Amino acid sequence: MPLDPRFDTTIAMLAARADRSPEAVAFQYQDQPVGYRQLWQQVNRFANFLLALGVRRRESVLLLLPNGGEFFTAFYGVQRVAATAVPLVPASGPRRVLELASQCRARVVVVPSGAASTLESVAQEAGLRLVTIEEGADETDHASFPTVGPEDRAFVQFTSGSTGSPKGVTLTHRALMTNLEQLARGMRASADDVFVSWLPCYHDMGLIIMTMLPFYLGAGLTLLPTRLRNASSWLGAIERYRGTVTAAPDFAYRLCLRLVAAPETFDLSSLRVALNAAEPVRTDTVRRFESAFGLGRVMISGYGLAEACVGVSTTIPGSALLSDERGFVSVGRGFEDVKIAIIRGGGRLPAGQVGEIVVRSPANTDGYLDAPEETAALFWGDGYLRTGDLGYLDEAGNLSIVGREKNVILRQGENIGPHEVEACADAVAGVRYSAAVGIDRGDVAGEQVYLFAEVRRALPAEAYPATVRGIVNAVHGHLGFRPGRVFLLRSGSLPFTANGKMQHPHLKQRYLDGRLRAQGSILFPDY
Amino acid sequence: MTVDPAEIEALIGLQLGREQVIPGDRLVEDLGAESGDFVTIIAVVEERYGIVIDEMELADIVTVGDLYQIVAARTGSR
Repeated sequence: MPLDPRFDTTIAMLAARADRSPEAVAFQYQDQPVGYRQLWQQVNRFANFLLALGVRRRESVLLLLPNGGEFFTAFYGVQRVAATAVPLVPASGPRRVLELASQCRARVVVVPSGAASTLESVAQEAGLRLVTIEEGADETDHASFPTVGPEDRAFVQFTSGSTGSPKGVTLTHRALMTNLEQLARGMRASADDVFVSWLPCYHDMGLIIMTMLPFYLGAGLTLLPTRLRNASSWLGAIERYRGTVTAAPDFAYRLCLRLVAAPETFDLSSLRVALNAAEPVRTDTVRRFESAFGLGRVMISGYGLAEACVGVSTTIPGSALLSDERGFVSVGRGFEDVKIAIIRGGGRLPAGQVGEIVVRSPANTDGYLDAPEETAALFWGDGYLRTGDLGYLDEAGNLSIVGREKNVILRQGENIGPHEVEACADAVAGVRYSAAVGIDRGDVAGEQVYLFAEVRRALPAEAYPATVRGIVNAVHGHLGFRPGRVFLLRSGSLPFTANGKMQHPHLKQRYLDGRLRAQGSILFPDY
Repeated sequence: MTVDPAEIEALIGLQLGREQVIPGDRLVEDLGAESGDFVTIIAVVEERYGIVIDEMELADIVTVGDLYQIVAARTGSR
């Protein structure tokens, strides 16, 4: 029996919430609660404003907004007029915004109210209209809005591949609602849950899992600004609002372990689910986080990709995380109606064998925006799309991710997942984060593990050699081999995506073309 | 170009995670270098000093001092 989402569209979802529980709090942002009726009114006013601007059905409208109420007003306001919302990283530079606007033929960009936009100087020339939520605040919230149906395109999420320009993943309301139902069931989430999120709303995990899902369920939501440096504000909000569901990539949990001096002072006992996804889950993180904060089994691991809305699988809340002998943590079985297969060279592989993960889900995208070739390459066949991730299924159908297709290090004939190496380095004093890539310089050594470790600003230069030795010994002691090279990097020079994913290919490229050195990112050694 | 022996010792120390490295140390027996380490050390030395060490020379490298002699000879002869 196919999944039956509770609503057809995001618009039907919000309308129903406003109708059934107008006074209920839709979300809190910086301790300011906003109710469903209020949200719905704001959405309708802004939608009216968009109609007055001439925004048409299916037209892409860019959102350049940070976390906060304005994001929701814009996101759903665009969808209210059957147009397509395109959230971008709000800190995107003018040139990037113009490129993406041109790629999706957008004419309107929503920017924050009351703040000068860096786009102003270039927008007019490029024919872009910058608008704010405030501009639409005086509109009436009644109008005859276009009908929005499940097959209408709700939004486009841009995703960076390892090569080429970003691709816009198109998602229908039907796909989104389906994924929300899958997530709700997979995470055992209900209206009783309280979501607490500091993830960015302009990216899939922060947007769909952490803000759309609570709206879908009628659950609570406390949204925070995305300030990674302040891990305590995240944990503090979980405590204060008695949060039951939160989510972050592995590194954010590690960040907490590093930054929070006295974890025992936080009462996170309300937490039911701490989703660890979007980068490889480290058993060490799970164990240390749960132990430091005195938690039971709250961490679940998950897997997904923008091309399937967001979520494909999670482990079952409350269950122990399974990891194999190499430390790869299982991300559970596919959600309902999701089929996962492992392929190599066009054929399917049996359980236990590592290959590319392909996914068939009713929440899959129809393709990339105006990119027929990339869309054709995305689909493997029989409705399965290629993830570019490598993994294997166990006999019970549990998926484990071992790396990206292009980012598994093949050292002396053996596959090494970069995160295995990184986990060792990250545990060394003075190291903030690290990234391992495979580099073959064509010399005697063949492909080697190159480890780039960001060190803390406070680490004195005299400590650099000892830090490198510490990393070498940590890797050797745990994995039985030494990295080919270890570089200490200036704090903040490792390339992460906005979602917190390490961009290994980008790092590798920057090292190989000499930019990493030329830009002064490499602190040590000087060769 | 002159190469300081201490540079080679420090390089090997970093590659192998050893704090104290002296010229008489044997790479394998004393410093615990494995075959993979041996080749990476050579690769790093070649890259750093812009030299190529051939197989014959490789066979002669037992100690840290042996490696230094090869590097010094190569860089000094340019």
